[in-house]
Amino acid sequence: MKEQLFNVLLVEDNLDHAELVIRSFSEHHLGNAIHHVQDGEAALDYLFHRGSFSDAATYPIPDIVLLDLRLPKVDGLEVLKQIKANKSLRLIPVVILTTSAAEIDLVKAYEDYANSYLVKPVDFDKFSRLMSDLHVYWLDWNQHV
Amino acid sequence: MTKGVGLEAQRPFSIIVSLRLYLFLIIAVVSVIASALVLVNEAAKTKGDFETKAETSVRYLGSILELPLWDLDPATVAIIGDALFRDEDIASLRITAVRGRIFYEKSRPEKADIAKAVTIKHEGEEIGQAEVALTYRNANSRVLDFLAKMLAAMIVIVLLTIFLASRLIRVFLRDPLDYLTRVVSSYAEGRYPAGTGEFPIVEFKAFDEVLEGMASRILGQLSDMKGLNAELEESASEKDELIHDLHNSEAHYRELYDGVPIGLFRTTPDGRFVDANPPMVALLGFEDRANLDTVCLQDMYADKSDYELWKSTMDSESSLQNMEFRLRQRDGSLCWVRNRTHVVKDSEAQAIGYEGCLEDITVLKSAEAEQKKLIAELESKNAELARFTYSVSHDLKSPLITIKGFLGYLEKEAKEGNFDDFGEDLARITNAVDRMQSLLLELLELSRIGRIENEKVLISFEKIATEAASLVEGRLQERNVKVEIAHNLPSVFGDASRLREVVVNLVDNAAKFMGDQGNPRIEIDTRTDDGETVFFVRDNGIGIDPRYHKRIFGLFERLNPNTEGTGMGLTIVERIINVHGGRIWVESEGIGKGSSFCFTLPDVPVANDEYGVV
Repeated sequence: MKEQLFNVLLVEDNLDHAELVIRSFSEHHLGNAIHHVQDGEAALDYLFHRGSFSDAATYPIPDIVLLDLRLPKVDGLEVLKQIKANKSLRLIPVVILTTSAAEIDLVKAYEDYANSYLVKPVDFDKFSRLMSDLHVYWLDWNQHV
Repeated sequence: MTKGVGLEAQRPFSIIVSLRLYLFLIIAVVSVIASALVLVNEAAKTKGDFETKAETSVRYLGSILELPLWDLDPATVAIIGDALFRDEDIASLRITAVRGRIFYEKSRPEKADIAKAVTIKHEGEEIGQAEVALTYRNANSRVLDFLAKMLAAMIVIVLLTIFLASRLIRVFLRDPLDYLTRVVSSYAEGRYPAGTGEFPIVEFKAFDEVLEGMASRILGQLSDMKGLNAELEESASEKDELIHDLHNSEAHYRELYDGVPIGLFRTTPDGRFVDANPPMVALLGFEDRANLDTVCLQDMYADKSDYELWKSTMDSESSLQNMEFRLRQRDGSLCWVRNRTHVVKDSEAQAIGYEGCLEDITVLKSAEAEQKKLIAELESKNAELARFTYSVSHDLKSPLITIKGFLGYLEKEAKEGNFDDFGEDLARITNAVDRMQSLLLELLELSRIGRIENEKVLISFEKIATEAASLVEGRLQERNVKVEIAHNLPSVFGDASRLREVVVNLVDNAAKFMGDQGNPRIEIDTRTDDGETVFFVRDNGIGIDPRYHKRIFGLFERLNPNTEGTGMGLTIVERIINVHGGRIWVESEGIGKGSSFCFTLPDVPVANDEYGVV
């Protein structure tokens, strides 16, 4: 496995959860850049280089988006829709990472072309393993455009 | 004018009387003519005779008097004169001699009709003259005698003739006519002496044949008529039966027509009522069938477009079923009806009106509406519950993940002997637990609204606002926020502590989102929108993007994840207002423009001693 620097966009309103993701993510892959935004509006601003995210060098287009569904302002599903509606952004794998295991969310997410749907496990070990596997699968094994 | 020959009004005419009259006249005329002829003939003969007689007489005198006159012997002349004068036909006799000496002169008083004179000569010498005048008198009286005798004979003949004629008429005319009359009468009376055959008078043979033919035809027709009559009687009895049945079914029909609980009607093409049963009359809000004469069904449609649809359907389809629309009753109230109509046509397929029924489905409709409302309510409750469950499961799980996650790190760090982040991680866990606790408390609170209610009272909103402001005094002072509560705010009817909670939440929110406003201010006041009182809590804080005006009332919704609170405040506020029957919304032109939280509350019920102003 080659070591490569990846850009990850983490869209997560809960700061504690974001901390958990960032920590487990970066435990073994220190080279990755994780860009964290707290709501849907900020996520779209980041991806479209709008407002305070207009500097494309500081805020590069990510290799993967980790997207929570329940977000302030613009909902996670709306963010997903806008990503997948954009010709170049739709190439980015969007992994839904949410506390919701509701079927309606699952179906809606896949309808809007989510690439993967993951439910945050309550259990710490499982959470750590999911994060590790997620990294291995999506960033190491998975081929990016 | 179609006046047939022989049918003209004629005077009654009797053959016998006429016959008698004409016979009498003929005989009389013949008798008169005959008598006249005889009379004329007799008169002529008498005249001729007298001429001759007069001639003879004077000639006789001429010859016989020659000598006496020559001798101038008056005695002999007198004897001769007297002898002649004895004849009574001689009216006068004069014998004169020469120089006018009268030898003889005698006369009778009778008129002289013929006069003759002769000159008496002796050896050519005139010696005298004789004049004789005759009268018809005697001859006339003879003629008159004859006439009288003849008249008598004629009268006898006439009487005889009349008598004979009468007898003849009786025997040859009257009796046969009477016979004929009797025969015809018997036919006329319906007695048909069939096969009389022996008609005693040859001339009536033709009558007999005609009558017999007629009789046989009449008999034939009579027997036909008997058959027809029998048939007629039969059909008449059938007809009676039918009429009876018809009356029965008419009565049944009427009973049904009037008895069904559905309005039945028949109208003219322009909607005037021809017939209507009592439910129909009642449906339109009238008491009596006669009232309907003044109204037109099409004028009673509450919605003209319903009538137009009805009319166009009837025009194209000739009938319609189960069309539902509203009618305006006489008193103006509306009722829902279900209609079924068809066009009534006459025998020539001409539309002569409409016939149909109207069913009052107002109750059904309101039940339907009620049902729809209940279903909608239930659906919205269900959706709310689903959202609630979803939000709760999601948001209650979040702190658990945090707690478990950081506990895991704590354990790991403890094992590794690395305590750099220990305090921070522990704080995260404590916060998550606190958050969990407040979530649970507020969820419990939310579930209580509408379920556990305090008594509703009439209370001044100014009082509620003042109390609420004092409850958040701490935060207001901390941020130097000024609260202005309008005076003379209206009274509201509701749960005082819940309404206070609403104002507390709104004022607290306003204070929380003041941003870097240098002169933070909150106004509590009312305004009137379309006659409705709108309460509002207005601030000059950071404002809210119009995109999020709806979302902010959702459960656990927070526009900024970093602000304190569970995201349940506005959910609770909305719930309280809804439970009171009001609406709540936010008005804000956007970021930096401040925001107004507006809500309505139903009108205060009519003041009652029961509800004292608190």
